[in-house]
Amino acid sequence: MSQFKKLLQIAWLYLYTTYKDRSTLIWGLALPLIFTTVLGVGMQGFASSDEPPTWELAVINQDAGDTGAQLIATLDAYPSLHAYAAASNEASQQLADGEIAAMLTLPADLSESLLAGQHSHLLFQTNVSEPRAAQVVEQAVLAALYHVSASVEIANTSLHVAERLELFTLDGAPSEAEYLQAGVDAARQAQESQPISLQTSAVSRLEEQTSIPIGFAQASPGNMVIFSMFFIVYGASSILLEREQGTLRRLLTMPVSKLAILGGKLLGVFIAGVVQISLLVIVGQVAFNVPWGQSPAALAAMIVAFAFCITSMGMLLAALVRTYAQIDAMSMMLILPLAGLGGAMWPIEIVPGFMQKIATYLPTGWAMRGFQDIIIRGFGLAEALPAVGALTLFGLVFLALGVWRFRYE
Amino acid sequence: MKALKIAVKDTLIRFRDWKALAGMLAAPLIISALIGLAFGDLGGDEAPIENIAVVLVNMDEGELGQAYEDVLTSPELSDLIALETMQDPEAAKARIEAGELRAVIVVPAGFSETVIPDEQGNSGQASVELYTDPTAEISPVIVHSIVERITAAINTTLLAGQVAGQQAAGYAPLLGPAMGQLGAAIGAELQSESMNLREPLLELDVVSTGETGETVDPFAFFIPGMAVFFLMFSMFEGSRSILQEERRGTLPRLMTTPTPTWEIILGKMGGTFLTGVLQFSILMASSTLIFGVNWGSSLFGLAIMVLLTVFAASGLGAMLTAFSRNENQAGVVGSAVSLVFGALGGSFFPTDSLSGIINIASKLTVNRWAMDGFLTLTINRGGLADIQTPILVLTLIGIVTFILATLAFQKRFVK
Repeated sequence: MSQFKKLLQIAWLYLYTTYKDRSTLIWGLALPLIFTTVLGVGMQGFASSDEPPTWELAVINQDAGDTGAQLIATLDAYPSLHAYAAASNEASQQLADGEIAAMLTLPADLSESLLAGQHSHLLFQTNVSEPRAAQVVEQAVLAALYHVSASVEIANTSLHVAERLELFTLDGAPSEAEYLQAGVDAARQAQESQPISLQTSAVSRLEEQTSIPIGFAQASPGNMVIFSMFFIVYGASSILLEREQGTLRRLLTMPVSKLAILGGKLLGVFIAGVVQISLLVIVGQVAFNVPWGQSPAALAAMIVAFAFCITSMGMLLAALVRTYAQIDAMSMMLILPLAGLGGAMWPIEIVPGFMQKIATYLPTGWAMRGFQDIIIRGFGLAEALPAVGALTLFGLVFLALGVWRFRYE
Repeated sequence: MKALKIAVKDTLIRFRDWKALAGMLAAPLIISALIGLAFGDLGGDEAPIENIAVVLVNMDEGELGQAYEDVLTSPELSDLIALETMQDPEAAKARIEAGELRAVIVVPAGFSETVIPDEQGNSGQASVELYTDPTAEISPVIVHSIVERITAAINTTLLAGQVAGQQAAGYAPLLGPAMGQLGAAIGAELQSESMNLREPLLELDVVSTGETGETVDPFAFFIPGMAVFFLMFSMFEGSRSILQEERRGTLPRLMTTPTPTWEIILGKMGGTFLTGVLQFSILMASSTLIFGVNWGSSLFGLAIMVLLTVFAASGLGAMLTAFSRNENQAGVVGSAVSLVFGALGGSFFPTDSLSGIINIASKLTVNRWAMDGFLTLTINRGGLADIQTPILVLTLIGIVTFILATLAFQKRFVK
């Protein structure tokens, strides 16, 4: 019992000295906030939010007929697109500057060739530095073109049916051109009530679809993961400083077991870590309106599991490097790749498949997934358990290795 | 010149310490490699997103459900969509939640029967359901567009039958007994056109325009970014060694020699500067060998940029160290500034998208001007004339910070 009491005392001592130090506040709170703001703004190009982003599409409409205008209206009706008629020079410049995602040029004979059933070629220009935006816009443009050319195809089918019935050989029959034009009008009307509709919904358990400020659903948990790692790993490795300054040796001469010393130290780091993450969550919620899901229990379990995992990782690092001076370089080498591979720096969705797989074998991958599942998917405690379990397991393995390899002298 | 001696000695010490080398050289290269892997197809010929995991739950017994499946498994979409089929929509949706899928498409039972007109020409309406992953935000948009196109194609076919029937019916008296052939004629006509995605009459010619016309090499962006980011770290660390020597008493001992204090300080800062120049040059050389980064054609411009970036970064490091109370504080402030400058200054993502106050803050960082200069040389293939502003700003930062640092150190050590 007395050993346990000493363990608690050591933990308390760590917390006291940590929070007395002003630099803790800089590291633990101010920095992640600055970072989150910057990255949130920087990430808007491919941010996660419950509204898809809007891409700008400039349309150079040279069409003499009315198909061009109809096409722009159809394109602009797409939720992910803002399509507008523009002047060629201006649009080219905007495209080169990356202000718009793409530009589409409609030829002068667009309406004419369409009615004649001839293929037209439309020039679609994208900016090479915005490949993702270009891909999304291209798909939407293809769909819109389909809608517009469909009315003519419907009319053509109708014309062919009439030909099969030999309508145009009869006296008093309309001309083929008249029949086709009437067919296009009928088709446009018919298109207003499509036989098949497409119902789209996101799979989420959130009771109310709160809108997450664009950019922050990725940046907020991402930064929390990165900074907690720095904060906690540095905290755990401060045991090396104690070894170098001789305070550890002095502790060892007292009637305290090695495990109590290490346990107390790690308990302190762990508690500080939990406090730090909780602060970030609260500030994220208050300052940036980042909703952290609807299950405080799930969130608490994730925070505790993650703090435990990273504390153990710090312990392992402390066991593997020799001097405190090496911690700087080594923690960089450890934390930044882990953060990048786990999806804390950018959305995991945009990396190749094999990299997405790698993330499933990393604690950061599980942490990001767990936190995002709670924020975006609205997971509760039961659904969050796999991520909590994975982080705990990582933590146990790291802890065992760290305690086993740590040298007290 | 005593200062030069001190500078060279300090530089040698740094480069003999393999752990320091790891932080200075290995870390930026490893992280650049990771980022390069993640964004390896940035601007490449291939679509940046591929093999989107999608499940089709086709509960329809008719031909239309099959049509969805045929298109989704067609060779044109094989790179973009990795399709699986499942029987149970709920199980499929659970796999979205498990993070395995980006989208689930459900074609309900009795779908074809509902929308295909019966003998009397009566038909109903039906919905195809698309369930998406809310944590992803690009792939669901793409899947949505594809499903929409398939739906549009089928709708077009159905509407074509409907309109053909209506139009012909308008001429029923004229057509007379031929009207009896209407159903067969529509059927034959629709049969002759496949139910698949037909080539629409309007085709897209896709052209990518870039400033250089060649594909952007992600490494050409990330390597300078990481090099500048890690340079900041080592410059702070280098300046900190002055405080370390102060603590260990080696510096006060140096002060008792006849060498003037300012020369010792200059030597110490010179050592950091020299280390930085070496670090940066080695990073440039090794990135060219390992990743084939093209650093542009203006060697002179590059040399100037390296010298001035290191000058500004080491000056800033020295200044912040000189004003720090102790080593620990200098360490915290240094790491903090390095990280924030890295994020603000474009070491992690291009600064084009920044605006307003954040953009102003970004322009206050060494990283931003360094990145501006390097990217002008590497990606835009510019020359010395195009980087005058970064040259001017970095020179100014360097001069001001070095003067302030020297004064502060003087005050600190001359008791």
